[in-house]
Amino acid sequence: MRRLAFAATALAVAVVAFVLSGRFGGSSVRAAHGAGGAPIGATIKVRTLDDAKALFSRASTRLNVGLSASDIAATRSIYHFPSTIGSYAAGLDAYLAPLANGGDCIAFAAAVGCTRTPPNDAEPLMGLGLDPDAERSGEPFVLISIKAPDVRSVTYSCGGRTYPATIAGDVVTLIAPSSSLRADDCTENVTLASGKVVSKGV
Amino acid sequence: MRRRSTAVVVAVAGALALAVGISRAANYTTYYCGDALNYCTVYSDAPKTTASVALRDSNVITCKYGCHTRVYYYSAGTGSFGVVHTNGNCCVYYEVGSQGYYVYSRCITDTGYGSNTARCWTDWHT
Repeated sequence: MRRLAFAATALAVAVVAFVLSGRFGGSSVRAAHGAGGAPIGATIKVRTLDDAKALFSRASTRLNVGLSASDIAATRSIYHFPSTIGSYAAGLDAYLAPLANGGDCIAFAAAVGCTRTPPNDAEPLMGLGLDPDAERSGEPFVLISIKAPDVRSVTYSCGGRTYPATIAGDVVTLIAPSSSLRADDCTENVTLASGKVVSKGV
Repeated sequence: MRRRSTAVVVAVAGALALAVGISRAANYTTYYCGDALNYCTVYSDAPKTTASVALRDSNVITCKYGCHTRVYYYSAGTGSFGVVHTNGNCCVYYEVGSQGYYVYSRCITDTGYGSNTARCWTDWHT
């Protein structure tokens, strides 16, 4: 009977430890923390149009926005970051896949952001932002947005200073002027055709 | 007596293994902000920080009502934390080279952007 109690207790302890290690990350998280050192470029998945389509395809199974194969087939580059910008974004493109029922998805670097509604006066910029190395502050964050049609100008206020965004067609981009800036510290200021300025935190 | 003891051990082990198998095979939905069962609803301008939750393989954050949500993730590839912003979009998927490592993530939601409510959630998948 004592042997039975011991066996049951040991089994229960083992199972509980197994469950907890999976639920809270356990040893895997600790292993990940000690796995650093790889260059940031290793996390860049999108360097070509085909890369973008492949990322969209993988994301479509996780994002419940109706991103279909035909949507992905229509993927196109919407912005090319110059190779001279001194950022992880140098030479990369942002890609857009239109959603058949409205809205779009943007792929950049290794991220996909989607919206099912087009930008409007209340939310005049829609896109995604990425700071792949925030903890180290070694890379500036990048913001990519699609603007509402009546947006006339865009600036970002970050840490007490104001920076103009780049507008190319309906694409608005900002590469942080300093790697020490966080997107959290920035406010977008969007001037509409009516003269109204819409400001909101990134 | 010994046969009965063995039978009890086998039965307990089987039940526990079944429970573990079910819990690990299921797709959980973890709602950030607040607790694991409720949507985040924010009524002030103060950002609301969620409890930290470990995700694995990929990050997907879904955001409702035009909220601006950011996800902090841990990249095994860079060995550091990064941030993805929804930047007005409804949802963001971020694919890091987790290589089987957990991606450590949390969601912070701001409010005050045309609506006084914001909700965000993510799937916790096995």
